[in-house]
Amino acid sequence: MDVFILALFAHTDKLRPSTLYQLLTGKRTSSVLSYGCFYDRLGLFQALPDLTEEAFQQQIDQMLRQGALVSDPTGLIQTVDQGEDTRAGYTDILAAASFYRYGRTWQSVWRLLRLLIQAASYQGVTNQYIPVENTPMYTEPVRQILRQVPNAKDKLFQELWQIFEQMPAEKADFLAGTLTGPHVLGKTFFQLVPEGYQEKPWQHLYTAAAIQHFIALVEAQQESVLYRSIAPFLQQNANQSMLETQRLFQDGLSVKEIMHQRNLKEGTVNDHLIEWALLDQNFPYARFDRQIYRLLPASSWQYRYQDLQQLLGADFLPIRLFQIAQKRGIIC
Amino acid sequence: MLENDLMRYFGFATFRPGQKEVIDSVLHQQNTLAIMPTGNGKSLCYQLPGYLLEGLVVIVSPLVSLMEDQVFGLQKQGEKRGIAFNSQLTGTDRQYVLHHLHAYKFLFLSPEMLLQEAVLNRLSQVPIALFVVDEAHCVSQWGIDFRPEYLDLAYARQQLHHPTTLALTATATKEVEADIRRYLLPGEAAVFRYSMNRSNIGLIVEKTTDKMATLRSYVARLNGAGIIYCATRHQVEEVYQSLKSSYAIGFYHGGLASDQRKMLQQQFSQNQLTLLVATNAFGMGINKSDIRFVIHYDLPDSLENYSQEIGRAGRDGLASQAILLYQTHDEQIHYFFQRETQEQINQLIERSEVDLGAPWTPLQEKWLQKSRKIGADQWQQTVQQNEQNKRAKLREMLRYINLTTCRRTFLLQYFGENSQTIDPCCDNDGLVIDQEKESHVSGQQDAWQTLLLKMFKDVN
Repeated sequence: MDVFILALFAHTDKLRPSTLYQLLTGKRTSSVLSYGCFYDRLGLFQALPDLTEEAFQQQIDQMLRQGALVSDPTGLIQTVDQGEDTRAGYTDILAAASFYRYGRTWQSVWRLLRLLIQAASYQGVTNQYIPVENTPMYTEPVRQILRQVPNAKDKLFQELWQIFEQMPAEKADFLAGTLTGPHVLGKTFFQLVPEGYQEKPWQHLYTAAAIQHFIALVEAQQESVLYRSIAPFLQQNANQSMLETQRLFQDGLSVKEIMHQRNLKEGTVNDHLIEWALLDQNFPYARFDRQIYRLLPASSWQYRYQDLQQLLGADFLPIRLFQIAQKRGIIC
Repeated sequence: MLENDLMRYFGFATFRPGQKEVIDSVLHQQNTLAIMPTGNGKSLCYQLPGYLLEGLVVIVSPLVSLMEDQVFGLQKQGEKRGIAFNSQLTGTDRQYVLHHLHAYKFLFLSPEMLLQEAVLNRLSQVPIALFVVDEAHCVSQWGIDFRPEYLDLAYARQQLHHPTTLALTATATKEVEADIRRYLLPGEAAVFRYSMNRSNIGLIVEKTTDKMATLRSYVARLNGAGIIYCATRHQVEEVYQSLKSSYAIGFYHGGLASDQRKMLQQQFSQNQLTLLVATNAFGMGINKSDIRFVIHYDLPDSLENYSQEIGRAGRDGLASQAILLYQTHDEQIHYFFQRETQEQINQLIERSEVDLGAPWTPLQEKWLQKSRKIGADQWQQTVQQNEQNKRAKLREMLRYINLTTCRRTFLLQYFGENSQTIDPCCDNDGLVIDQEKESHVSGQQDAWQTLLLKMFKDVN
């Protein structure tokens, strides 16, 4: 846990522990999500849902006493600038995690893929093998894909090769080690996680970051068999109510019209649009007054919201959206 | 000839003691109770009739780990029509299974799941070949692991149009047997009781002041595959971390996802692992015929559970060992759990008197439902009696630890059987472990390119 806390706060900016805690345990509000985006920690949204606030705070207090962390008078925290090199691997994992995008289904995606790869690899060899999964949630989509895709075995071999080639060798070896097929019996995550990551919560984070990286690479290949197989699982990650708001907004409805049609509060619709912007590089920022974007000061998220509002004379939603665009380097 | 069917479906020429009689009985539509020792092939007693009878075999099982083990066992035999219908399935999966029951032959589920209206209703619409109650001793407050929901299985049976019922257990005193018959097997039922003695398993208790050192010493001397049982997940992982640099070892507990547990089962089955460290609850799902030793790192809570757990060893009939490590105060953890349960009972009694709507624990919720059904007085009496029984069983467990006479004789007498002479039988009769073995650690992990070539291109 010590290393985790150090890696979590290893950052040029000072961070607020209570908001980080809300982020790690998955408090889905636009302020927590935006904070995650502005301080490069959105990928850890709901990464540790079982973490207790007491344990988290105790650990931080202890490290403050030990001098490994320092706090400013407002309670913002950062690491003492030591040990950067030894922490590199850990901070890389935190940076690579995509819990916000894949948090709900990354485990089931990998289970589905393990079954798909096993079933395909046994094609033409034998059908007398013990499937790695036997619940319909996995067996039925795999059955369908293999029925629909001619020559799935060769295609999957090529696609896997291509994806693993794009990953660091250590991560590719780790994921491939969990696969089962002819001549190969998969290993569990804990058997394959490298020695330095065996402690909690690293085992979980290492595994998640590797799988989420794999999924992101597959997502970029939307014609692939791998993508077709996991697409229904990926869709489950999104907040369904947010998707409905997105659909109406894309149809041209304003925030007020959506509020009226869906009988939602303004805050809820705002939350939906911010969630959408955080997930989608192609969010239609052009629907809002781009003058606000041009007037935003550099690193605007470090300003107090009240100060920004006074400066820009704008509402919460466009300010927040354009801050996200600014952080992401999207030109509006 | 049943032997022909046995050969056809399982590839065995002969039955183990008792199997044929039990199978014959259920095939004649006789409600049947089979009390057989762990490792005697109880599962075959419903699997073979399942193949010979029309319809679905419904197996009620108290633990997820046991259901997973049974499904895995069927898969190893090439049978893909088994499903563990439990909380690990999503709601959509459960709906799917219920609408495709014709695609399954063996359905495993907990009593709670079976008693859900939608489940029971759907099952009542399909032909049931056999209704099996595994670990049937759970129906009795005199048995260890009393599960009040088992009492409602009579109702479930009725809803399923009284299918032929097979109750299975490895541990049943006369009182437990009577309860099983009363609640699960109305009318004339055939009862088959076989000795729980597992003569090929040597019994050893080792008192120690340093359990990890003693464990290392035993593991270094014991050959073949083994299970190390611990009381908690934390302890399981600690033991695993201590031994993993020296042995091909894995850990196994309820904190792992079911696919991870399945992989470990397969590795263990195929001898890629020689040691599995497991919690008592989930370790019950580990099934491998040539396990040569079972070591208890923590004290079991009863001789019933201990007998079941050591029964994982030596299913192939070859010499095996059961070693229990005991350090002073090991029983404290059970006293702690007992106190905790008692507090919950007291809380429930006090609160139900004033009827405050305060939140209950899941266990209290369950008790409350039962209490409403059977009446508060009877519920209190039942639960208190069960707690008393647990305390008595722990005392017997401690007596076993402190014996200076034959441990097997004590065990057999506890289960109402006569002593049997076996040599060597236990540490008190001169049994010692003095073998030597080489440590074996898992080999180097292949690179991803090698793994893909092996799997897809038959490059080995």
